[in-house]
Amino acid sequence: MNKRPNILFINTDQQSWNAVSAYGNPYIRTPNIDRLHRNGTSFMRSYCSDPVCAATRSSWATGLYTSETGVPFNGGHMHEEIQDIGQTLNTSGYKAFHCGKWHVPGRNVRESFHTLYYGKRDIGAGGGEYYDSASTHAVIDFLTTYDGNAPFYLQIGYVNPHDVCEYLHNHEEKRVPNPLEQGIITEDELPPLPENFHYDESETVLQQVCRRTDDALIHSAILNGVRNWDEFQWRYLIWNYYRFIEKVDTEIGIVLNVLEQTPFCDDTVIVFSADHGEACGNHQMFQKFTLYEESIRVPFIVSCLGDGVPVQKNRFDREHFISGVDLVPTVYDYAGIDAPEAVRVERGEIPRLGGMSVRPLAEGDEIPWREYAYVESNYWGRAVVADRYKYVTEYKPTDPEDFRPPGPDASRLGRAQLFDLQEDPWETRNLAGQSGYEDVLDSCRADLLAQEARLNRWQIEHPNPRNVISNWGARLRVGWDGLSVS
Amino acid sequence: MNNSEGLHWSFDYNYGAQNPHFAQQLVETFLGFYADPRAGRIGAEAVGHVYDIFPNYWRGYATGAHLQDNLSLGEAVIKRQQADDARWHYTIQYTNTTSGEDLQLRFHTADDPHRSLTGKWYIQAQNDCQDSYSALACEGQRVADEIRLIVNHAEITVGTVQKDTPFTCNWALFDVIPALSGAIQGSGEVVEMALLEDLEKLRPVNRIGFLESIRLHETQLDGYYLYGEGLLPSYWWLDTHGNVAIFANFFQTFVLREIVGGRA
Repeated sequence: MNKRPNILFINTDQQSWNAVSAYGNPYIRTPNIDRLHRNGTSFMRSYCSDPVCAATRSSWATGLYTSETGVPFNGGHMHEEIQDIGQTLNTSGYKAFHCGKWHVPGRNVRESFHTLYYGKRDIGAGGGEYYDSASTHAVIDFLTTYDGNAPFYLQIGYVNPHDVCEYLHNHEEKRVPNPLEQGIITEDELPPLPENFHYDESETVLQQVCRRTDDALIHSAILNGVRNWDEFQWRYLIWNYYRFIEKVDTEIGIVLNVLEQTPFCDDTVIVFSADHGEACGNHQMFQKFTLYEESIRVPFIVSCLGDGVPVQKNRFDREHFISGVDLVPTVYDYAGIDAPEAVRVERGEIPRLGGMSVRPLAEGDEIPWREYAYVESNYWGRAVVADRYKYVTEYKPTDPEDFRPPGPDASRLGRAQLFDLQEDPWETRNLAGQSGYEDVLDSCRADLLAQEARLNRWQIEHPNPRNVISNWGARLRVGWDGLSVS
Repeated sequence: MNNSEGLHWSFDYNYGAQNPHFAQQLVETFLGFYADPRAGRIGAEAVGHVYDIFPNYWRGYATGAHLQDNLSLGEAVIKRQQADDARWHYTIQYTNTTSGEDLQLRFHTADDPHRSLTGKWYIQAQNDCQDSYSALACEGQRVADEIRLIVNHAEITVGTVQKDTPFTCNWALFDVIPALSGAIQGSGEVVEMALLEDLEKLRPVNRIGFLESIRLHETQLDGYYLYGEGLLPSYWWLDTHGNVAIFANFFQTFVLREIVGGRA
């Protein structure tokens, strides 16, 4: 590769890692994501930095974890001092374009990128039914007219399958008749109930207060709606979820088909991923926010439709832990530019701060790599996913909150979940309280604290996220007080 | 009919926090049309149907500064005329005030119950967003089994459809479902066909079947469902004259507002 490649980052919203037909899922057809896999390497241990839209997208924009960006949940405010990927590329010989969903509060996408399309009404969280098709039109227009004077970085933010959230809102207050009983759909079309539908209820207080109690902090109306669902309703949710993914797969297919007809095809590296997954009945949960695999594990493919960019094709990488913070260093590596100091990692260096370039792995090189993925959630939630064990925990809220994302502080750690992913990949048995696992738990906790010691967690100054942290913290303290009383 | 305001579950937008009220606007539009004596016009002879587009659990229209009194997300105008060679010539004008997309679709179909897509078709998209994208023109045709599109000199194949598979554009379903309704309802069978969504996205496997009959504010409606790969389930409600009165998926609801031309 003699010249700097074009870089196309295609992302979907709320797509779990296993919702791809090339990965063996028989209930969905994704011929175009499959095509990306056939022309590239699929990283099967890929984790978002934080399982909600705004937070993880702030990592995509900066290469930093969400406790560092100022967006540690849906609705933070990006620290103004942090340079984003659009700003960097636009001053480094690239032209950086954005199309579709952005959802990074506090950062104006139109100031950081050349925007192809961001909606007539700015794209917020949802609306794939309307926005995705227009995004594809904008990308077709771009790919077929771009002068090519400078290499481009184009990120396409598709909204679907996020519209499954609208499906769930649909069910807040009413019951839709069973299409199975109506003869509209057949039993063999429906995916089975997830193997972890019945789960170990010893979860963190954060998870319970946010997602399980009657007045849950997050989408309690949906929770109250789905509580009375029977097995069919959960399976039908999964069925519908897959239709949303098929919709966005079609959009991706049009983009790939057009790219293939342009002079850019050979010299364009394509990165495909999703901002987070979808619970979809796993652990009897819906949407994202939680730290279970279905919510935090996402597809990540590095691909090239031509031969101009070296990429190992039709290959699964089941070994390396990829993180959402790896996007920025990967793009900078392909672009051949120096990353800002905060995210700079030398090739082959284990990262001290942020992400690592996935490029060497996509090319088939063996290099030193991280031994676990680190994920944050809802400001106080944390997870470490290692080769065999997965550790989920939380920080207790303080009174008053100091608005500096918590960690590393062993004295403030709350409840824990420990899963043996080798024996229990569906995370159904919490081993944290069981004898014989004390050393494993200690080791995971040490990894967590060591990782967090490397982070640059700035105090959050913006009043909007401060209000959320205060309100949620108060509710969490009530949850903890209840535990101590009982 | 099991939900608020006497609406059917397939188009019952009852999200509690929404203001203005969906049911009121839907019913006003619906009754506004059916109170007009011209509503007795036979659907198949109409030149055009005009639909208001309302949300159906899509909340993005009314957040923050976009909160407004009118729920409408745009309109769709479906016009068709039979040419001298018996083919039907369709023109679709679809305006979406959320995405900013203004689509004009032109296509021809055979004069058969499936309104089989024939010849070339054309997409003209315009968008008044404040970004660099503003318009796109596209032309398509079927070459043997291949469905091809040409845009700015780039020719792509979006998929294949076997010659013996019924195949049309999703917008022609406003005529196809009325044409097939008698056979579907009578036999209890489903009709399978391939669809070219908005003349560009191939949905090769779909089925249409009968759902149920209801009365909505004294108007008899027969419901049909459309299920398919890559499609949201949708429900099509026909009046006794063969007009699609309401089309809904869980995201949006089209409500018939006006009929243009045809015999009264």
